Amino acid sequence: MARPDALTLAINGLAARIEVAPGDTLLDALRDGLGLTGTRPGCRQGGCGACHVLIDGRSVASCELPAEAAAGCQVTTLEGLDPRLAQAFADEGAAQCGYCIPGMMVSAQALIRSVTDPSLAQVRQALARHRCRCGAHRRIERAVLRAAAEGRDGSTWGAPACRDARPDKPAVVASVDVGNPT
Amino acid sequence: MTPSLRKHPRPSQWLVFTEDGGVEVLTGKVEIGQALHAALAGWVAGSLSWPVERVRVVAPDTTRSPDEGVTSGSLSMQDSGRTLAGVAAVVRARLEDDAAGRWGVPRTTVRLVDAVLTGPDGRREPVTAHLGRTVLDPAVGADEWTLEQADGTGSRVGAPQGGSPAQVDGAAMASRRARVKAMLGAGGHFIQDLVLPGLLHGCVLHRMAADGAGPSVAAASMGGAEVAQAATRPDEKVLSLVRAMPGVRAVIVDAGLLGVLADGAGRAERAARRWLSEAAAAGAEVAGSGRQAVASGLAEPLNPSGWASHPWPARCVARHGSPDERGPDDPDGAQRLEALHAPEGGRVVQAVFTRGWLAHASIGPSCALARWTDDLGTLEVWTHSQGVFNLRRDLALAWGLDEAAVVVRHVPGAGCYGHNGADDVAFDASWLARQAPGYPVRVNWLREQEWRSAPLGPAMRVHVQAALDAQGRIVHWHHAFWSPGHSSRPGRSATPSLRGHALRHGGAPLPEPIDMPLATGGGGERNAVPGYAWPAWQVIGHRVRVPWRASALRSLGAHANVYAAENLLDDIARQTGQCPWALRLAALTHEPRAIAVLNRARTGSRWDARRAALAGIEGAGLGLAYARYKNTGAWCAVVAEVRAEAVLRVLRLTVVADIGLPIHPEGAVQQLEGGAVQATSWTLMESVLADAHGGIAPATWDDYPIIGFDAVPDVDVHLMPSTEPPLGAGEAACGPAAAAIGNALFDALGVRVRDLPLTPERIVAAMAA
Repeated sequence: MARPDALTLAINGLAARIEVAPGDTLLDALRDGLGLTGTRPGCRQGGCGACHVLIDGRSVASCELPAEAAAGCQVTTLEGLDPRLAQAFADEGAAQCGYCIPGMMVSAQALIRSVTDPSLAQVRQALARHRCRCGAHRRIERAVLRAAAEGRDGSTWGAPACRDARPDKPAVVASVDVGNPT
Repeated sequence: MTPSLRKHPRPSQWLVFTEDGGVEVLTGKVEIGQALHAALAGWVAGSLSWPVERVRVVAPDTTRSPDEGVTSGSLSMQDSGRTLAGVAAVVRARLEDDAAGRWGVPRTTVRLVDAVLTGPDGRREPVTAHLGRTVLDPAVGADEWTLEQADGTGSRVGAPQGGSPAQVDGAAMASRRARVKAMLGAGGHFIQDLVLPGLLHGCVLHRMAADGAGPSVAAASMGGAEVAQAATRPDEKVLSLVRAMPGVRAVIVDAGLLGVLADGAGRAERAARRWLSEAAAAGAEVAGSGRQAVASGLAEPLNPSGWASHPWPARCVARHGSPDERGPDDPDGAQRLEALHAPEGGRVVQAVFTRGWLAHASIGPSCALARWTDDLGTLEVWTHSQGVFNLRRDLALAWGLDEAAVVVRHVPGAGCYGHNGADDVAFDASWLARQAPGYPVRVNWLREQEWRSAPLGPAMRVHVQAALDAQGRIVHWHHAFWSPGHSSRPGRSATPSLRGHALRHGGAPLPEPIDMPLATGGGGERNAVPGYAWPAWQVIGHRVRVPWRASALRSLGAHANVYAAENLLDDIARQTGQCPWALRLAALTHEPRAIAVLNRARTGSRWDARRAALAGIEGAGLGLAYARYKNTGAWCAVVAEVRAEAVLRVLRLTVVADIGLPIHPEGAVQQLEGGAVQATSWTLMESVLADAHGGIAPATWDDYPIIGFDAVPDVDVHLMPSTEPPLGAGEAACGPAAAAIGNALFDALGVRVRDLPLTPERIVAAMAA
């Protein structure tokens, strides 16, 4: 097994030091390394949108991004999003099973920070890479528009101070080596 | 009393008062995104008179929850909801009785209000866990059960003592909002997030027959016994490569099962993917190894178009007023009934419809955790299965344990929409966890494996014939369908219905999919029985045996059956010059609630105004369809407005449903909307294709597109006001939405496309024909 390397990432405004192994993605670093489980593992093929995070304000699939590629960038996860987004999704009944929603909230925040008064077409464009199987699409669009409207009261739209990164938690989970039964 | 209460008659099996002044609600029905637990919380809060923020619905757990079977068939509000509401009312009455006795005051002066017992002279006593215990234990007596003593009006259902319907819905909304905010906050909500001490991460792959030839792939998909024999040990070089991947702790091979144990979920999955790519390069067959799809679609025996030519076993599912007096018991009867003869001066209108294989297509691949005790004597499993007790039964069967030695707990997963890989992956986790007794192991399927190994919603062929008399009236209706069984759920067969068990050494073949009895909704026959009052009709079912594993997908046979019947009905209306509304209404005089739903759909969709507005717009069309789900559930009518352009676009669906008293209307509206949107996706674009070897082709979302933000229709949902007992909402709109789209397409272009999905190629082909 290859030896893990230490990496420092800026997650939700805090520096987090984690150990990564070759091939670890940003998704792995966030979930397995830092215990930030808001970023959802979906297809791990870059095809569903569930695992999106913000990298310097841009919404990208964390399952295909090598963890070390995020070094030096500002990473924002579900845990670091503006809380008005979750409220808007709850108010619009926009989450059924809810599995796909965090990735969409990430893309919504990216949109709203660049366009304060997005059109429906812009919302659809921002969500084009996200899949939902419950059929909540129209409610999701309304939630994004509602959140954008909430943000037009003059307040700053963005991340609260981050409190969730856990740099103390090592990336390599302590576990028994069960040997090789084969 | 409800069947659930007869099985679990003590209130303590449903409600628990906690030390902190709360109430725990026990149910056998799982929350899978349908807002069920919010509706239950609201209903109990209203019935008991308890603040909803202190009502907690416990996820089903075999150590303490009532066994209510599987969460399926839009039955949870009927089964669990009515039981809980009734039990809450009984408990409330007992608490009031008890307080009146202790205080020595007249019974009528004591009321439970917001978790506090109140009596004369300002007496107040909060209900404590101790007080609760004294009233929860005795079984509910028939004389206590008030829920159904309402001379059929169900008014007690609608107005539980503690709260008006609006208060119940308000409580449910509050519960749902709190749940969604928790789900979208930090801290973890899903089974993928569950962390237990010493957790190990795993991935399990399912091997196909080594040579990849059709028949052996077929055996692998259904059974696995042949695969276990055929499977040679994987190449040692490949094993070494996988073992050397970062974080890998062990690789395990057991006939058709390949397992990787690692110290992180991503590392386990990457090692498994390495295995897949190496196996594909070596020409071996592992589910998900990325074989080429056959672009032309499905070859025999997977293609429903060819099923009529096979001598599949046939049976008469149901019949009414048939002129042929011989029927189900006549060995040749089913075959003979195939031919419908036109009456004197009349004619027969008929058509054949098909739908392809459909995937559940959950956004999150299936996941489970398992932990064995050191002696491998007891097993704990965490799952997003729809039936924790059924899964426990098959896990016990698979491992030769007493059911008491297996604990299964529900944890939320991504929406499943039927029997997906949730149960199978739970077995896989239990298999892999045997490598590390005492340690919990999480297994997450690869997306590739989810497409290939999870059961699929089966393809269907439907042949509908109608004999019309000289006046164009329908005098005889004949509905025949060809389909595999629609349920492979665990808990119902002599051998485990867990795919991994069939693939391991010594595993038993998977049981063949079955159909539940028509009385409980059926499978392939769901909604094949006409809801219209035709003078005579019969339904014939043909049980098709195919190599792919079929199981329950939302609405089961109703999607194809309602599509076929309602499309043929529109053909008849056009051919006989009748209004499609009038034709339906005239045959539903025995069903006033159906008539009300149809009339509301016509006004709610502004049908007549839209028709006028759309006249002359090229490619614009309106269509309607109706069905009562399962013939016993919710009444539902849908109007679809479409534009046939380069692709068929569904612009708007108007969904009207009578679901009895809506306990949590907002939740029901979301379910109807989601069901209509999902059915739109099936109908417009979905079909699982086969690869050159007869295996399941899709490996990525690109291979199995589902509807996206650019194509989702606007959906208007109207609930009929009612005080009748509540009915489920999640599946009622699927069949009518699909059929309304087909009818709207005909209205737009004048062509009938009878094979689903309604792809541009099929529409163009139908226009050319």
